[in-house]
Amino acid sequence: MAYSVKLSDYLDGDEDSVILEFESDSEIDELGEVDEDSSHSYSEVNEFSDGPSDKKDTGGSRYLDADQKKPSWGRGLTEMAYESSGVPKLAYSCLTTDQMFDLILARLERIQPIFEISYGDIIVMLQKYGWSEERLLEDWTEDQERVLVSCGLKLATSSNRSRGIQDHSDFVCNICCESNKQRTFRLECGHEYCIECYKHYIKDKLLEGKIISCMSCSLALKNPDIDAIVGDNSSQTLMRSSIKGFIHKHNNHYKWCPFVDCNCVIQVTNISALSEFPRFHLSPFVVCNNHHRFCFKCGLESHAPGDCQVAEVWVKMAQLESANLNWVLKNTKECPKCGVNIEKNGGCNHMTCQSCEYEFCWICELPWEGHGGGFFECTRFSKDEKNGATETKNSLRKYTFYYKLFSEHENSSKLDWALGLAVEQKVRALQENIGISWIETQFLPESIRSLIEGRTTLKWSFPVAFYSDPSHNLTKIFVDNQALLVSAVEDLSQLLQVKDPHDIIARKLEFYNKARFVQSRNRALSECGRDLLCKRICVPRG
Amino acid sequence: MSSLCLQRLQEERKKWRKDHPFGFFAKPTKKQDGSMNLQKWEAGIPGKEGTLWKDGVYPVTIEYPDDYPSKPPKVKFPAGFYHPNIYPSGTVCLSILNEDQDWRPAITLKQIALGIQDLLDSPNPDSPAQEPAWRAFSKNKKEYERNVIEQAKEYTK
Repeated sequence: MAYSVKLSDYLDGDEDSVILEFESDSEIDELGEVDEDSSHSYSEVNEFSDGPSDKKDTGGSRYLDADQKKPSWGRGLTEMAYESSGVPKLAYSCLTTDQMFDLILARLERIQPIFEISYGDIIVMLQKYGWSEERLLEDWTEDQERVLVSCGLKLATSSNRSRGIQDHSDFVCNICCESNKQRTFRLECGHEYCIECYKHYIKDKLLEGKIISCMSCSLALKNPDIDAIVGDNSSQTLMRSSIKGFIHKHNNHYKWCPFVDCNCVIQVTNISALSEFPRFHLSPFVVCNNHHRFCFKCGLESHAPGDCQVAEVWVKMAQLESANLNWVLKNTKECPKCGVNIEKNGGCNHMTCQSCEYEFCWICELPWEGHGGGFFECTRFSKDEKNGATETKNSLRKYTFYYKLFSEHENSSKLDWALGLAVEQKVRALQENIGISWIETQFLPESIRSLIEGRTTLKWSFPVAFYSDPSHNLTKIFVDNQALLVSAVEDLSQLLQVKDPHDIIARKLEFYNKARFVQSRNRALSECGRDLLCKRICVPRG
Repeated sequence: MSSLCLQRLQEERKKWRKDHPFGFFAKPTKKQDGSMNLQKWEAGIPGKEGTLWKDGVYPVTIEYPDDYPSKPPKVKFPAGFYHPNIYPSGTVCLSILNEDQDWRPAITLKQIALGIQDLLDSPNPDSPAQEPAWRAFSKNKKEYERNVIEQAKEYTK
């Protein structure tokens, strides 16, 4: 049995107007295909928790097509949001660093006629001006000389010293303090040092992408100088690194992918759309060429079902609390009556709570009455754990509970990335050993992506659960959805452990189905979480 | 320690012994085994004549990183030193000692020492590094001057 709730019904915030729509099982089976209807519905499909039915048999190629849309479910989500609820879609593209540099060059092309100097020199000036073209142009039209001098492109006073590599018979370099140096370099400023020191100095700075100046003053080295000293085209490396400064300045349009060692840049072309997202408790998630999904607004990894506010409050809390929390958990107990945390810093086990004056035994946490004279040793201590009800009473306990789940899933997703690398090898093995075409093996990376996205959603569903009103019915549905996604994810994860290449091929359909199922569960949980936020059942508090 | 760093520091020491500004001192520290530690120096910076700082010679330690002279040395006053541009830990906030600002591999110990002497009497209120001295300097000059003179007495020549 399944039901779905229309988004439009949620937006008016009236809890009673929730319309439950009953759908047949076969419709749920089509979840992946009919995004229009289902991306805004969450479904409870208990019957399916052991995997989707095999009705999909005929749809092998059909699913392949659908899966090849890169940001599979997220893209569907934003597109649909645009159609049915008026949320503008984020238009973005993923650029490599080379494309990014070409883009900067294209910008420079427009302003170069004004300056009539080389691109390299314009980049030096822009770096000095923090990539603010307007400020540079303003100053340039006022006083070119002054701009050139301040950017280190020209000496303040004219000099007749030559610039470039010099030959000597016996030169003492003041940087390395070695004598008998033959080749040196200097700019018009006359500060002259050996070529080895300069090489060392330049190589150190290439990746920083900032202006490289004379080792003694602020006169800038130009690209031909750099290439002459290092002996190759290192200046290109420097120029390419300079995009860092550009992106920093234009960080509302461009963002680096936050994943480790990923050099992708996301360019958003309609930034006005960004401001529309919070209203719908949606986040502008983007996916880079390496399939890393992150939030363009806050720069964190994908944090659905939570919105940016949930993520922000949660991360801040985690930073503040974790050290505190460890100490509190290790050193305190809560008063069995009022729940206040008590540190026992000495003395006997007869405790009196300072806040409610309840007297209890530190060891068994039972009332002191009846302990008689046994001041130091409690004989009533039994190992049975306290029941769960008191646990949720205390917010700290509750937080720890969710934080542990959060970090457990964080660890799992780290392992999944490692699994992803193993899968790549499997794909290669499949191609080489069985002679299957590349496209035919793509179900494996697709599955791992579904797995990782599923885990990420699970991970971020715990903050949402933490900030939600536990007594509300929707929260309970959310928790059930969590459990369903957990089992779907674990199923898929287990399947991905299969090693035998023939076995993998034979179970291809199973991969499809399980991955599909994770995707639909993922979508359902995300939507349910968003409903919690829209209806203000989940309210993040700092 | 790289050979470049060592060689340069030996030369820095030679140059300093040959010629250094009046009233300053600087010498490498000793390691536990009694050998010379060229990467950590102790130095004294005298206050300029005619300033509030004139009565003191202020002790600093200068630590050279392994990648000196690509990277600047770290200069520290005693912790809690009273000056707007000196961090509570004693670390000096000075543009020529900042790799991202004006540090150049060609800067010598003499230039650093003179730079710090300059900083003593001409603090930069735009980059405060500690609260008490900065607040007094920008809000209550009298109190600032009194504290500086008081501190000079701790470090008399």
